[in-house]
Amino acid sequence: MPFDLSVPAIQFPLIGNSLAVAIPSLLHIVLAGLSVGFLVLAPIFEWRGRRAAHFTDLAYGLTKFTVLVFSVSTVLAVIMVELLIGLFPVTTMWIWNQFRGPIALAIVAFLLQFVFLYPYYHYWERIRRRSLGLHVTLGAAAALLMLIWVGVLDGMGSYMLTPVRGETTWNNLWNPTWLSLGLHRLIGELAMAGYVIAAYGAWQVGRPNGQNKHDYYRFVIAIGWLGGFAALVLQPFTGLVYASWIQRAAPDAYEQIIRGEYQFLALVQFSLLGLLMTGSHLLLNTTIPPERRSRWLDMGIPATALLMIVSVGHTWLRRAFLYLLVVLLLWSVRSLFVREGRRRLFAASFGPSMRPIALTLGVLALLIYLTMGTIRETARRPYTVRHVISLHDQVERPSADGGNGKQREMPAYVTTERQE
Amino acid sequence: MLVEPLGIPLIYGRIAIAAVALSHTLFATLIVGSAFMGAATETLGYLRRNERFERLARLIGFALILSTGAISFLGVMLVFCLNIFWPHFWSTLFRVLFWPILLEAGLFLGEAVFAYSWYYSWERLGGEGRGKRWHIGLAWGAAACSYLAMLMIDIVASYMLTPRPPDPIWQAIFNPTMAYLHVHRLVGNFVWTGFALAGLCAVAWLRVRTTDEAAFYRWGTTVCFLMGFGALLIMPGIGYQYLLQVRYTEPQAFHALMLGGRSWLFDLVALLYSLLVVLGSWYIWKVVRRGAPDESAGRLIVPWSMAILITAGVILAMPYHLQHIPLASSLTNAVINPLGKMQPYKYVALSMLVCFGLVNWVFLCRCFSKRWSAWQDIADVPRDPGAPKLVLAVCLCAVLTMLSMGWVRESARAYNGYLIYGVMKLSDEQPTYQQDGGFSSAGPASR
Repeated sequence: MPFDLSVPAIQFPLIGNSLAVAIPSLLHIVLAGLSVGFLVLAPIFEWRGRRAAHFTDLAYGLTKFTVLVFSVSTVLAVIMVELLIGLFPVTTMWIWNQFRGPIALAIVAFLLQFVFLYPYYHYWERIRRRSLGLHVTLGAAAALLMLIWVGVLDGMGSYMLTPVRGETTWNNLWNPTWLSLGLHRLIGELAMAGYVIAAYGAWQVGRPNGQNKHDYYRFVIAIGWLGGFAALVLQPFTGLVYASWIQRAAPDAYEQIIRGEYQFLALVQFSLLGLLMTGSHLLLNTTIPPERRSRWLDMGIPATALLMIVSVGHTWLRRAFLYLLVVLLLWSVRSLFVREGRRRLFAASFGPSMRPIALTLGVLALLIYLTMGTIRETARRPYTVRHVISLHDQVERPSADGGNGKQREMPAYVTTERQE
Repeated sequence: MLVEPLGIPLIYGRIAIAAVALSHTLFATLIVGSAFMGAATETLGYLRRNERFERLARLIGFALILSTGAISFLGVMLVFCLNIFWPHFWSTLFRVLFWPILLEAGLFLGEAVFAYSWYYSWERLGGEGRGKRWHIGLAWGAAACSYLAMLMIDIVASYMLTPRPPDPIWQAIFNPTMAYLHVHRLVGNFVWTGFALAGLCAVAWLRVRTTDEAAFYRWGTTVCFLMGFGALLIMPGIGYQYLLQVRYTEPQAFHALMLGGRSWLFDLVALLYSLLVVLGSWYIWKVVRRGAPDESAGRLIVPWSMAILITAGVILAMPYHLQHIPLASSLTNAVINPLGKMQPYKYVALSMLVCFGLVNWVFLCRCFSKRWSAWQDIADVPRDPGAPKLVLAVCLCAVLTMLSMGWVRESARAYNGYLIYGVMKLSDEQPTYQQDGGFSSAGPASR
């Protein structure tokens, strides 16, 4: 009974191919992004825990979350990859083959990370009893290995926007936007992790059984907010570096987002950022008695945020307002520390509005992270790999050298046509 | 499309995929069995108010979440390797069986969510009353998801050996060996999980310092062992039906395994099966000798049954075509070993192994009755290091059986040069490795 295995291209029902990939991808990056942030923070907090026990408890909680969501996050990644293979086979095969060497390194790093992470969590007390240094080293090693894994994935992600023609697969990693993306994303993960930690603390502190550990959860809010805020004020600078590299290497992609048909995404992103920054100031205000709050900062920060949002299409103006906003926020923090003392934040009795503000900030941080990911993917449109493979999974040019490469005959299995 | 050739021999890709796939299979099969066993032991513990079952369920839960973590990683690795080393095969198979593969991943996600919620909510829900019932529900949720995920992956695995035209999809899904492979793997999972968990308990048994701990782990080892050994005795019947189906559907593949160049692999499986039954019966004898009342028939029957099992095991493991055994030609000039013939010798030997294995298993079941003193005399527990070591030997044989069984099934295709039997050849993947491999624009080889 002769037959062949050629089947028509798959069209995902109802939601289409792009959205079918986007949904598990976004779910995955929320969990994975948080896990990376928590994994980096956990050994740092644990080390600080030598002096304050709350840090140790928080480190344990963060590790527990990471271990709990580890499989779910990984399986979401597998679903994402399987959808990519089924719906965008050309892109998937091509990009993976461009990164064979780094992928091998990433796999080893991921395996070792797994080996370090599980004992770090499951033998927490046992190893700590023997040697705190050893335990912290285990956590730090797991975090470092996770960063190697993330670094390779960032290499692939950035390569899809700014591909280069590397001599080896390792050279492909060194594409123009790799390091800047890696840095921007890492700081973004820390910011998201910080605000989510604060939101968790706020959620717990308002629960009936949270009152027993009121001090601890107040500490969680304070340290989470502080960590998130510190990372947040760094983001405009890492973002500037990343945007500059995109502008240089893929000006059309940059224009498409800032002034083109996908400008609404940039508008959403800066609106969320403005809300997050304003919310951070409001959260800080809940720790200060009303009579000692700065009125001009209360007015100036939202106004600057609004100006930043409306000037999205005007790069220099928007940047000026963004950095002004950062300065105002830093001034707001400085005012608190100078007037109220360094310990004020940790000892503060948060006002009643603290809980909804902190929870909203957590959600905003997650949304910004997701929007940022969506923007990065959208910047490539109408390509999956810019100027190389189209969104219809068709090859534009056989090489990543801007189209000067020699056209080659292509195997049948990868030149499948697809209509979205 | 420009996919740079790997520039390495094709065998490297085969080795990489075989290594990852076998490791993946080893943990994946553990998940299905341990999810069911964990749920069953917790349910038993709850219904019988038996703390030992509760504790065993928790131990199984820990093994389950570790396996789930490992399998998540190995799953990513397998997908990576397939995409890099066999992209042509993988994309073709993926397109034909897109929905089963996607469903498998989705169900595995469900399994991970249920399993993690189950294990990590033990303190909160694992007490009594309604919370406990929810907790048991989580365990059964993990078991159901893992079972359905395995069903999906069995569709894919069976399709590679007995493919059917991709349209309509039902024809491909319900391919001739799908149901047989599924039942074979399901019961095989219980064998492997039973022995693997018994092995874990045996390791703990060897390392404990208190008699209470030793008593628990000795009991836990035997409960898990009972499960594995019982399922082991069903395997030949299911395996026979599966092979019969392969014989009718793909006779060439069947011949390669049973009488051809890869028949030595099947002899290896037969040897391992015999070892499992014999070593398992030896462990049963240790339990019977310790716990059976003096007047019990087990004290007489189990030793005799073991003698018969050893004889039957030797006959079952004997090769028929000696020339297919690696290095055998340097030892003997004989081509055929008449005693290794399937009909009647091996059939009789296999029947003996199953029947007398079953007799021993019944005695092992009886050791849990109140008349026996197998679990009461905790004072002598630490003085028996031989028993857990025996279980570890059984566990090792089970690992080797799982690996060789996987190899056997893949060999059935690969020995005749196929990735998807009769439809896609290994040589179709040549362009992935060499620039001038000569891709056929007409697609893979036709049947």
